[in-house]
Amino acid sequence: MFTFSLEALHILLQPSNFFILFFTSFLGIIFGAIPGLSGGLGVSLILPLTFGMNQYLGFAMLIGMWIGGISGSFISATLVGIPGSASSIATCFDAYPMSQKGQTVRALSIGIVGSAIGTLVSVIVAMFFSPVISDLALKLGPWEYFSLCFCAITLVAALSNGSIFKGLLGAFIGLAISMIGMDPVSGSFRYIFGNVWLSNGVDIVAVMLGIFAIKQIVSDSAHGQQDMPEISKETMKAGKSIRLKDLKTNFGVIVKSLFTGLWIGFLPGMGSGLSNMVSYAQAKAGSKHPEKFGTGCDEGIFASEVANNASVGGAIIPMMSLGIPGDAVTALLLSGLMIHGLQPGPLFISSNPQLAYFFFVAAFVAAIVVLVMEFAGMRWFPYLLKVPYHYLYSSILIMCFVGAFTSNNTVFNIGMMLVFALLGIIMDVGKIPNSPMVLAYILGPKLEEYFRKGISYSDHGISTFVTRPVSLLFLVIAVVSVAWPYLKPLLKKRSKI
Amino acid sequence: MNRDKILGLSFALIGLMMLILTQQIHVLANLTEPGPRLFPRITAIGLIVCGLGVAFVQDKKGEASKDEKLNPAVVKKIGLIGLTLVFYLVCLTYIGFIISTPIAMMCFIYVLRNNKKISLIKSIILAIIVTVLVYLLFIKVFELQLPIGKLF
Repeated sequence: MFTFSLEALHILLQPSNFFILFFTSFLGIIFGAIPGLSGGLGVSLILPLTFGMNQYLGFAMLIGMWIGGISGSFISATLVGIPGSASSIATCFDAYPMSQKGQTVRALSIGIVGSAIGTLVSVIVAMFFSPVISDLALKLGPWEYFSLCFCAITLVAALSNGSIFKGLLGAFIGLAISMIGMDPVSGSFRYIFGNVWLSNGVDIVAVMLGIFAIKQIVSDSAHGQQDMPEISKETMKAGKSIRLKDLKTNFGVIVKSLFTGLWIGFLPGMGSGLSNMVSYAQAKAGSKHPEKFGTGCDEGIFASEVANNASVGGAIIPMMSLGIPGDAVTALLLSGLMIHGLQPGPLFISSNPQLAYFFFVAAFVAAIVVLVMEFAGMRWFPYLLKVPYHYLYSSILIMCFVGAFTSNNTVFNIGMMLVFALLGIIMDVGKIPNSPMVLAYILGPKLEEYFRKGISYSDHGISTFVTRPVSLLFLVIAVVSVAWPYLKPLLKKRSKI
Repeated sequence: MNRDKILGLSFALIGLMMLILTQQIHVLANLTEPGPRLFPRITAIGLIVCGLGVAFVQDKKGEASKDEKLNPAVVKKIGLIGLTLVFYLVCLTYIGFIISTPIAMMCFIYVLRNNKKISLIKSIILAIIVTVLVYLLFIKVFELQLPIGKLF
């Protein structure tokens, strides 16, 4: 591990790779800071640009954007009380009041340091755990992989907001989309309706740009984008920066938030959008002074920012070790791997150790770059929020169209992108979550392949899925996660009796 | 009929169509595994069941499904933006990137400005700059193709 990490660091520190990481980290901070944009949107926009690049340059670009985006979302949360993305909703609760009390520099510096700690520690944990989980996963067969993918999809559907039927409907929509094209085992064409452009299935770039970028822009613009208030220079100078003593005082919250972020990032389909809220609630519940939460306390900002960035490392673990995305952005990174002809899964780390460790090292270095950039550029943060939305969104729309075209050099792909944007809007209107859809779309072909291989490799047919203990365990977790909303009231009634 | 019912029934109908269309999927002879029709059938049945569940079953997580009315102004705005996007797609198909992008950019700026006053000169300059930058980036730096247009 150490040798591969050093080799990866050597590759990353080549001028072109480091420069692109630096530049996209900076862009990522901008995308994260501006409400309505996000690191995920930035990654989906630059993904098509990586097609013509070598792998290391391409992934340095994507990782820089990702880390910058997660980290930068606290900026508008602190300065104007509007989160840059869902990963900093809980940051608003204390960072903005602290800024209002004349402690803007303190609030921003806690956010910067909290973000850095979350990313750095979680990436180190991911670096140690991913190979271990990969090695364990290699002992599994198609039965276990099927059950794991099935469990991942049902967990995401069950844990998403709203009714279980809506969550599962989202998952089945994703599966239906993944059925279009060639069957992964026998090569039969399905649902292509004679259209040669669909014979390879629906392009992943068209789906991601449609669902993440176009849908978001259309939806935000239609609902009316809020103007950002002015922030004075005096505000940006107010308050004292964070000190080492503050880290010692808040050590307990930092550690708990790290574990929360790691665990939630590890769960497929979950990510920083959930981890910041859960961590904040836990910190408040466990605090000696819960009444201070919401008035501008350090613990609140640490809890949110450490957890949302710790989800980065948590999400990398299943991505690298199992080929299952931990959140929407790792789903995009996985698609980046596939576009470059690489096969994610348990064999990825052993087959491509240099590239695998490059991921970890790039994330680690990006976190340090972002930390330095944010401290150095703090006084210019208000300017990030002044960009007129109509110019910004127009430019992003052009990039989306071009990105969708360059993915497979067909205008048909742009049409597909618009179709998925429409699907995303319809799902939003119907409050059908899109995380299960994205995960099911990514995992659908694998799910089918493992199921059919499992049947053909076994002498006992479908019963093998329940007779193998690990497979049975994942299936039980999947069933319980779906049935839990109905089981919970029944169990409560029994305990009262 | 509320929104959940319309959406749920629509997806259930799509599931039914998917199920019927599985008959057209070619199956190789002498297969030792379930074949290419199984998963589409499972997915189609899933869509039907979940679609009907969304349409007729109240949310068990304790939130009653509220039928918030769609704001007509928002729907109109989405329609207008959608038309602009389709317009750009058609222009790219027939007249290519270089001519259609500045025009589309101007349309996007106009449609997305939310009734704010915007400077025409600034918008034109930005549209040209974005077109030139994207062209240089994709054609010269990344050596990727951009749409040429069927008429050229």
